[in-house]
Amino acid sequence: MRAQTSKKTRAAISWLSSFVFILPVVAGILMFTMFPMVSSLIYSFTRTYTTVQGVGEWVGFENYGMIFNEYWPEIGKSLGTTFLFTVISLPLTLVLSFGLALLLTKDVKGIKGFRVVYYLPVMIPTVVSGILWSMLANGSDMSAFNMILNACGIPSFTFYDSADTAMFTFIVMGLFTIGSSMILWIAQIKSVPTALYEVADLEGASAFVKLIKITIPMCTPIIFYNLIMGLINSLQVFSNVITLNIEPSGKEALDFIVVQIYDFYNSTDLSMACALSWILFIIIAILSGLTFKFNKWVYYGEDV
Amino acid sequence: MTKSIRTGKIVRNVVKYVVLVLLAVIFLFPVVELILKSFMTDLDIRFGLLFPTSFTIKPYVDALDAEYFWWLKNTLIIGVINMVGITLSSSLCAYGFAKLRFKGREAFFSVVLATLMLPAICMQIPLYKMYYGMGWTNSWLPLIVPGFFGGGALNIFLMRQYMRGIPDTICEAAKIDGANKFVIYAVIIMPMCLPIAGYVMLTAFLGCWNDFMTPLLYINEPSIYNLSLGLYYRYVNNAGSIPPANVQMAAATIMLIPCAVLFFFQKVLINGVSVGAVKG
Repeated sequence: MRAQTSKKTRAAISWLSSFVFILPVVAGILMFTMFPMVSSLIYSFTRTYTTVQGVGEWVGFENYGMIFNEYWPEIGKSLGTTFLFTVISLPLTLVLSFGLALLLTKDVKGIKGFRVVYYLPVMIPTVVSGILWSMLANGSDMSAFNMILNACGIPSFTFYDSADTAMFTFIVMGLFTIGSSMILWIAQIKSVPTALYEVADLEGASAFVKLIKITIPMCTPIIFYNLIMGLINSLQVFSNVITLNIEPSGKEALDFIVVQIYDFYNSTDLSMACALSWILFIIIAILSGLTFKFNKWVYYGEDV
Repeated sequence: MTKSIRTGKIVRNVVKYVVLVLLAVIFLFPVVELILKSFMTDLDIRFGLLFPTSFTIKPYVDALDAEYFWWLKNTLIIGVINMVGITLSSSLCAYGFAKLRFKGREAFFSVVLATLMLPAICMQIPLYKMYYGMGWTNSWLPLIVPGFFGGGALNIFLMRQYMRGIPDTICEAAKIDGANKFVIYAVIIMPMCLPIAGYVMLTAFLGCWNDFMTPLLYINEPSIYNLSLGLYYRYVNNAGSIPPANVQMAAATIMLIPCAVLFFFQKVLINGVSVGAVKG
């Protein structure tokens, strides 16, 4: 009997001593995630104007109704913009950063120097890149890109300063930071056991077959990681847009959903901002949930 | 026969280098243009030149006033505190999730992962209310305290993935030798995780250095701005007259320096976040 209780106590102590390690994140999630998420849900059902004021009057689904009625022309367009960006930018980033990493794991002299150079644009702080790109890629004849185009005999392009070309410009400029995904690929590619390639060589496999059958399957954890994070981040584009100093017509074309939420927040319509951010949350949850559900293709090393 | 193989190899190498150099030129272009513009005279800026006709440091004199250095100091302090807090906190949690077996571990981990999917904006608005209630707005606390509570699901996820690659037998051997969980974490796991810890430290610092959304929402007192927010209110969202491009670029160039220095010291990053070190 006595031995049994002490066994139980020991088990409890053991559980606690393990739990202590994850206590910071559990407490953090309760304080900085759960609590605000729930409050935000509550606010979305009320009419609350500012952050300083207490919780306003309960209005049920009125805010959500307004999103899908009065505000729908703007918000629907904004959702369209956000999806368009995600659908184009995410696969492009994945494929290009993987290609770059393949190139940078080749056994060539000075390869480390190239890695530094390719990673360089990632280090440009958001605000700086906003200032920089609005200067290099604006529609005037004096912008750096137009100077280059003109020198090649090509007429000036509108870049950020027109509603038609702003999104294209934004996506292309975003590609300068593929170095951040590239760094993760490089490690994964290099950690593939060379024995696998040696066997493949003996069997006479071509470079393409080795890529498809060895490198890519061994890189699935990073594919998965880059896919999920890329999805979540591109649905939440915000800072990169509002730090741009460009013509209003260009900025209107870059009406990402988080920018809309921030506008509601700024125009002291807190409950609308919360309602819209919950809609965004549901969209992200569904899309990431689907990605997680189909992650059987991810290969973890310890199964070897 | 051997000669043609050798020529083939040389040709392939030349092609590789041409591709590498071409890409390098493209990736270098924004940074080089940023630095070049920062040394241009006002006249060169007006003509939109790509290369300055003469170098001047006047833009730097104009951009780097006392306020700028004050913001720089603020940013460094916040960055260093976060670097320590986030690395410590996320590695502890990752160890718990990767190497300790306890009831509810997977459930907790799923919750942590789920927070990755929550839009930051969704939380930041009610957080403002909470911080306001606690008197934290217009202080650095909203930028510092959350880092100590888990250090972000992203970092925990990355660290855990890395730690899962370390064979359990190593931990079990240490356990048989009488090491407790904390000793195993500090003496065995962490030294093996230095590459990923270095990566987390670097991204934590850079994340803080670049952080723009958090200060934008919680701080509106110029004396406690970080550099990002300071530059935003000076050069982007400024109702008055915005200084010319060369001055903006000078301010931006200085902001790049700590990132560049840190990066060049970070061998790990250049070699990639390696999982290969834990084999054997």
